[in-house]
Amino acid sequence: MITKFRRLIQWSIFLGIILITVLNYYENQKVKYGGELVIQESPILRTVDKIFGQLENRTKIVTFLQGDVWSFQIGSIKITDPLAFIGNISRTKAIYWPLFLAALIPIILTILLGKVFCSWICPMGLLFELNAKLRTVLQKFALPLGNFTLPPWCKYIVLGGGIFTGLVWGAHYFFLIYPPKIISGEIYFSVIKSSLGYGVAFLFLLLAIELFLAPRFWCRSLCPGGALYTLLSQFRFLRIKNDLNRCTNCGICDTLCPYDITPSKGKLSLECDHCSLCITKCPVKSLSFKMPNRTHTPGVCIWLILTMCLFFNATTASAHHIRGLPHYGYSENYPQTPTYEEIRVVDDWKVNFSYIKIFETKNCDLAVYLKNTKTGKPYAGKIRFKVFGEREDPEASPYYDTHFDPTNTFRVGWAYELDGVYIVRAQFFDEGKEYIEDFRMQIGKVGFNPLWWAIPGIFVLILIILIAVKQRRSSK
Amino acid sequence: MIRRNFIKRTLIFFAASTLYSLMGNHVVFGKTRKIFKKYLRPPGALPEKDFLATCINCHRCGQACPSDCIQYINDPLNPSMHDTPYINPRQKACILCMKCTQACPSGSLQRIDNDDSDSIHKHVKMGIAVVDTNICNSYNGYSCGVCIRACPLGEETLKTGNWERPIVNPDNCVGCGLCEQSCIHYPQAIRVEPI
Repeated sequence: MITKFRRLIQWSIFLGIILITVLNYYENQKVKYGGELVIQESPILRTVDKIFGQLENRTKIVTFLQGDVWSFQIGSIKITDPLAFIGNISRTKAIYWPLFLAALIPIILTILLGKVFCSWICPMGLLFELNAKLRTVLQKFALPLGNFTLPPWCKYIVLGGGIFTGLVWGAHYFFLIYPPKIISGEIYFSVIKSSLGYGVAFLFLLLAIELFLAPRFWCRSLCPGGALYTLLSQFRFLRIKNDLNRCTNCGICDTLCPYDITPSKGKLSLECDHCSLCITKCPVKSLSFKMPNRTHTPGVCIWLILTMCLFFNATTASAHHIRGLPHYGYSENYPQTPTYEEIRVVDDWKVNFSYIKIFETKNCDLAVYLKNTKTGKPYAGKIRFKVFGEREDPEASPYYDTHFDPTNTFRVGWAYELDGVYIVRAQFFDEGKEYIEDFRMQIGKVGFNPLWWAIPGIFVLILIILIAVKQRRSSK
Repeated sequence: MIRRNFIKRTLIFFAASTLYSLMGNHVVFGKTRKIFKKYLRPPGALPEKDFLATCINCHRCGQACPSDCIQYINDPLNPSMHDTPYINPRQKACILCMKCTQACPSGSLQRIDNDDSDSIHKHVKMGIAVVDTNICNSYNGYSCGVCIRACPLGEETLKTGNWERPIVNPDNCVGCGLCEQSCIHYPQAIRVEPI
């Protein structure tokens, strides 16, 4: 029962993040000049428009919830992950009080209830649990799955290392490796920018490692957020306890526990994240949530209410009129935006290369603009262009002459046959010296670069070597 | 044996940490010098160093932005700047609605009200527009004046010269980049240089 309730909350939070992002995107399109077109094009936004489009207080309703599990906003109350707050302190060496207030709610909840974020809220925790279920399916097919484990204290090193690098070099790595942050970021990217970041590779790597090599190793022994929550909830009020009078020592709970805690021994260690798997699966119902007697419940409640009141002062409602729109309605296919631009400095010359792909044709317009960094004057000599494919021989293709624009840019039109990566070689002379500059030009759809497989490959290789070393040591 | 292990581990730790800090500085080895790219940060941003320290990479500013102009640096070789917001005005410029500053939880974008243009003039300083007279159409015989019409801050900021030549007043320019977005020449003749 509790597990089903928990799974419901997890799913609703996971889908809620997606829904909140879509709703905020919808609202942004609604208030924007030319946004109606975007809404009409997408079927999801159209259905959202049907539900919310006619409401009077649309802006208030749609943007009532904002953000994701890393940083959230309900009305005017901001909530931020404590890990973000800790990382911020370590980098700035100062406390920014609004951020502290935003981190206070999760901190208080963690102090009172324990590591509930990990098992009840974290969207990545849900994926990891489903992944573990998939693993049991694979085990039924008798696949040789690894069972590599890391000691649980590793996560404190990850947490401490991040704080240390933040204190010393002013840069921490929590946002690069913290899965709930990455997954909420990727949801944001996929909804609003319809693209994905590099974080996806990391998440899939984690899922693959958990599936084949080390079950639940991230939550158990590497997650910096989990480490912080464990430290915060040292004196948690809510605990799972085993009634030893009832317990029959069947050991079901010990095998189920994802954190390798042994609930059958009575008191659970602080690694427990209250996922309540052991409670639901216990055949004699000897395990249950317990509040110890030493709680000062009224005092804690007053403290909570007082701190909650502080949040209402933290922010005010946002103004929502937009100005400064230029007199043109710029749409997505605004033709003056170059597809690509690159600026380099070669000796005295600042080389600016840009190109525009002409719509619905196989034509490109290449332009080079040279400016002397010392005198500020444009280049007045001759420039020749050469375009060849990434894997072609540069000598095989001829040079084109450019035509000199009255506005001091050198232009050449160029038609291509296939999508792909091309190299543009520009040749110019200055004071008898020949300069050759290569620019990379990507046109159309280019396939997935197979080099990216190297990164997960290296990780898997390291893990395999570690396992081999461990096995050899144990056989000795 | 223990001491040797200890020395080995410290050495590895320091090597790894130096690598990490080097990666943050975006060192590029090659025959041509690449310009150190300065990013145009959203309005109300703290100075670059403080901004990088305070930003918690939460994407809230991008979610609040109605013109979708805020983008995120997605560069795994540059971890200190990874996932921080920036604006590419050539693609999509800031319309100075100040919603991102109201959404920011960490104070890296200082809160600015959008009630009157005075607060924008006073508090927003993202960059300064610079006209390249070598390639600007109006300075080379074609009367254009698109950027002047795009500027939301009026005649005191982007003045019209003869033949619609744009003249920037650096004191008033806030660096929103609407002029850069509207420029019909490419490479663009008016650019916002981040501060």
